[in-house]
Amino acid sequence: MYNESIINKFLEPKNAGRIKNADANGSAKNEKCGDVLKIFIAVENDRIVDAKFKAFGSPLTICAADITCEKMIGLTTEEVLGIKNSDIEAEILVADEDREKLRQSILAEETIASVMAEYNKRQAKMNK
Amino acid sequence: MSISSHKIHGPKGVGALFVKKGVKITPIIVGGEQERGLRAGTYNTPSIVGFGKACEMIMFNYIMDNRRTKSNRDYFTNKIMQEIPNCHVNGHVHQRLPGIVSISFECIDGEALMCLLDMNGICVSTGPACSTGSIEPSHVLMALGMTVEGAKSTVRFSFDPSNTREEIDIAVKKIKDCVERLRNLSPLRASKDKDKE
Repeated sequence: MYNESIINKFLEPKNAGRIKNADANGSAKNEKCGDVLKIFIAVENDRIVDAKFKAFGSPLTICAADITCEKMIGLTTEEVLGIKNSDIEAEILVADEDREKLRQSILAEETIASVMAEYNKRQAKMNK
Repeated sequence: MSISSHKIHGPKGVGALFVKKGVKITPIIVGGEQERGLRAGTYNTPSIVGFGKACEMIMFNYIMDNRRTKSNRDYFTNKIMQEIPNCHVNGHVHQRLPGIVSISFECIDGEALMCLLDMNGICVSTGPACSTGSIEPSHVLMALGMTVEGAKSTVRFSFDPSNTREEIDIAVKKIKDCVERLRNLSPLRASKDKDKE
């Protein structure tokens, strides 16, 4: 059905789970297909040191979520906003018939925007 | 009425069409007079013979076979409902085909469950072959009044007379493990738990 690398990420996602006392979390949903992605982040010195996810969706959704977290770790809170859905898509090889499904399964941009908005809100509150 | 051969253990790619006397249908494949001009093209003889044999075999003992299949299906369904919380059987309780059951497992995606079960040697389905590759949930389940999440959380299990109770016990145990694993990954579970608090 899917290639080995997608199945491996689906079976053993490195970044699955949640971060206790996360600095922020945010989620996004694809209304059309029902997929949901929630990401938790830990930030130190303005840099994301850890990112974990929870996802409701197909193996493609879980694979894309894991890659999204991988890409976020190590970036600054500004740089992370530069991650595009197309960056995630480029890392996942699928058959042509699954291409549209893959695009619909990637919720990176919306979720990162949500989690960083929450982070900035919390920071603003703390700085008051 | 159309009948697919593979539904009764016959070969794939062959079927039968029953046309009531007096009903006129237009061929969709033209260019030959095969099948009374309704379907042009060379007959697929091995598949037709295979389908014929499957019909012959199913007619031989179908009452007992249906009874056994239904009993296995009900045993499976009861066990799933007892052992796995937050799941629902779709469709009518009694007026249903004996060999299939559609179950929704809250908070998890049916395709993800199907893949995990496949890795564990259990083959199930999330929908008809004609919707493969589609991102949208089953229109049939949506017409039953389900939400997008509910329809996406649904898996169809099929049985036949050769299934044993031991096989079903193993399947239920594996399904339970896989459902739990995916629920631990689901953001919907946390929000459901919060709703209950």
